[in-house]
Amino acid sequence: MKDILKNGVVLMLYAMVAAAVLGFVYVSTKDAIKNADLSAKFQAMKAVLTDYETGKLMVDEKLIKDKLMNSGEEKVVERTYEGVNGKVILPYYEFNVNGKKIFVLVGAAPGFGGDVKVMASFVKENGKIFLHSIRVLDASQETPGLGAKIMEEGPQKRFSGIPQSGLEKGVVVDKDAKDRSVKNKSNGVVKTSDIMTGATITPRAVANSINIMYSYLKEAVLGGEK
Amino acid sequence: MKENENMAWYTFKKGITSENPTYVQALGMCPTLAVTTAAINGLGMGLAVTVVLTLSNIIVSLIRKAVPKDIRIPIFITVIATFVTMIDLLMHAYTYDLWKSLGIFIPLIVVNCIILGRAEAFASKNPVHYAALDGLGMGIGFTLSLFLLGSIREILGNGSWMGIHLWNFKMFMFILPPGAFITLGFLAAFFNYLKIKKEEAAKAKAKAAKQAQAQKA
Repeated sequence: MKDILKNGVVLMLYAMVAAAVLGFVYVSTKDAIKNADLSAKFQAMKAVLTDYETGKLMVDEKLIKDKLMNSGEEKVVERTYEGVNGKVILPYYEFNVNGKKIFVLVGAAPGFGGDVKVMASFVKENGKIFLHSIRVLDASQETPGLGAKIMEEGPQKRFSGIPQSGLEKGVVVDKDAKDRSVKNKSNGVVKTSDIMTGATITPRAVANSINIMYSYLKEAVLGGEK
Repeated sequence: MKENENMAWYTFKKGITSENPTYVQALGMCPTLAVTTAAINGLGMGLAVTVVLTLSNIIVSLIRKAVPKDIRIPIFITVIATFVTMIDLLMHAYTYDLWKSLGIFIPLIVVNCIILGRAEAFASKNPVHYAALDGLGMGIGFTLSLFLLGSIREILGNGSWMGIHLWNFKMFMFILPPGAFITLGFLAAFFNYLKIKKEEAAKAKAKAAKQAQAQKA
């Protein structure tokens, strides 16, 4: 009995020291971690807001920063699209430029090992919405060398510029497009099989998360607008 | 003094060669097989383990006289987990890109049995400088092993090395889990073969020396 008490007290002392050290490190790195996360998000946002044809930034850099700084806490909304359970990670960001409305959303859908997280920019112009470009934020659970190749620029660029007709039909990768007569972006088909050989599940997750974000954008964000 | 130096050198060296954690002790197999899909991943995981292993060995050795025998394992785990969490936070704050690419491996280090194994088998019984050398040696041995395994798998499975494209011939199997087991098996067999050859040579040498002595007499 005495031994057990003694051991308990000793263990508690060690745990207390460990907790104190960790508490100190946590508090002193808290701001730096927040900044690092923010700047990573800023870089991703800059990437999706860069015109994929001209390579120019569509929105003022300072404006992006302001929006990010004042965006508040993240909130996850579960959403299902045609049997796929995904998420939309709020807040979304809205920019008004020269009569155009640009929406930036973050969504996720299950890939090979876990969620694949994608940021996407949708542009609303003359009453029509199209997917401008995407950036994969997290695919760390995908197989390195296969699915994780989605982190490279090449595969991500394949998803740029999908018109509303494609989004309405639902975005699919070319391997899933057997029922689509014409395999182009107007029909929602994105060709990835040549650039990501042997990996279909990961780009499919990207396509699913785009569909989830688009349906959220249509229903929850633009629901009231005509 | 000379003997001390030899002892220190041996403590450091044994982790890389004769007691290599991966190919000889077969410790820490889970991260070894899981992360070595590319050379750079092996290197990153190895370096992270080296840092944690050296630090935890030093602390465990320092507190070894103040640890009751019955509760040594929970205390060692507390020390290791504290270091891992600390490094995770610090890397997240100051080296974001590295943290992002190593992110999934860092929490794995807590349950990496090399670290607990060395704390229990070596650091808790030896003075600080030896414990530090042991941690450093084992860590470097682990890093080199993972780097080699990752290099072979990346070259065969993806036709590249350290992200540099080599050729278009790819055998996907080597990037998938079976490739990890096969490569590890062949490498362990190869290092065992080298060890046996060396022992045989040493035996033959000793025998020859004995015979020469007998002839002289």
